[in-house]
Amino acid sequence: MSGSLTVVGTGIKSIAHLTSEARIAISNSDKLLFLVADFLTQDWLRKANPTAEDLHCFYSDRKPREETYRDMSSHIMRFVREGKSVCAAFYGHPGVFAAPTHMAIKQAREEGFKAQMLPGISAEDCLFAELGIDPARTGCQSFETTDFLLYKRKFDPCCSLILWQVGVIGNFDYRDRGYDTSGIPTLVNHLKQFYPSDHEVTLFEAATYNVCESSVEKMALGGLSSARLTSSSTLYISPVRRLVSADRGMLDALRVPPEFVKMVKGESPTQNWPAKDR
Amino acid sequence: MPATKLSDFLLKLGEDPHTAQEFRAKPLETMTAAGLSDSEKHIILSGNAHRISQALRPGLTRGAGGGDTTVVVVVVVVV
Repeated sequence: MSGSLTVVGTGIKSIAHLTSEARIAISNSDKLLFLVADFLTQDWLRKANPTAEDLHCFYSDRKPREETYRDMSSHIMRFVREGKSVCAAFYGHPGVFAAPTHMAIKQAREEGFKAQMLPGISAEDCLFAELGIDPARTGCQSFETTDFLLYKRKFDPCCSLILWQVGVIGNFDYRDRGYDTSGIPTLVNHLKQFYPSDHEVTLFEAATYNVCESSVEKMALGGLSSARLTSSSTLYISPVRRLVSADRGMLDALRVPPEFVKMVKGESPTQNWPAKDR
Repeated sequence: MPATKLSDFLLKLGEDPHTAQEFRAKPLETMTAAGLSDSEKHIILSGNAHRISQALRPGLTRGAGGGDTTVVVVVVVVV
């Protein structure tokens, strides 16, 4: 079979986050399909590959997102079946919060076509860099906000918590003119079962252009209900700092040397291990 | 296609280290040399992503941070 599919990420900060392998895949494909968040990247993609076609046309107001993603995936597959080497470029990381890419890759492989995904820079990567968070320090849990509430996902408040799509809480369809965020008080009330009301939370929105700063807004959990949210907002909740100690049975089983065993507030005993040993 | 001078300048800032360095040191001079209008200079200096998007082309919205996906609701009814 001659058709193939390569899915790439364009990152968050327009063209600045494009990797070398993504640029090559974009330029060398017979057909380029894209879904990006800014016009600068669109412009660059159209120049890099004249076959470029925007998948944004599959969105329409109040159309269920699940249906949109199926349409996008089917459209991508149409060109793969025609025997073309297809590149699908999605903003951020193409496998993170991007359903149509996974659908298309699965479909392509099931039909016997070669399909691969190349990683990109996600909003979470930007968050780690800009808020100075190392997920290895206490562990890090990441959920889609509506999913987090609907299924009452189990999490550990002593670990970092990231809630994606907090600005589209409770919304299942696409909205041209912004989303209803009336579900935020429900989220705050749920989180108050695990965190004090004055616990610091951060609303983060990564910069889209290289002449812009990312938006970093710190506030008390209780203040989240009145915060201004956008569809690009991500909520970071720092770990609760409380006395935790490593499990004695595990320490013995792993033969952890005593000098590495510390009782620290909300931080794992491995935090002071030499990096090369991690 | 977007407003070409503004778009070209921003693309160059992202690809050409020399232009990026010049812009950091002398933003106004660099934008003037690129032929940007006063209005375009103000938009860039505002650092406001929404204003820049509007100037490049109005009307685009994006999904969530870094991606956009949906949640499938599974309801199990036990009789």
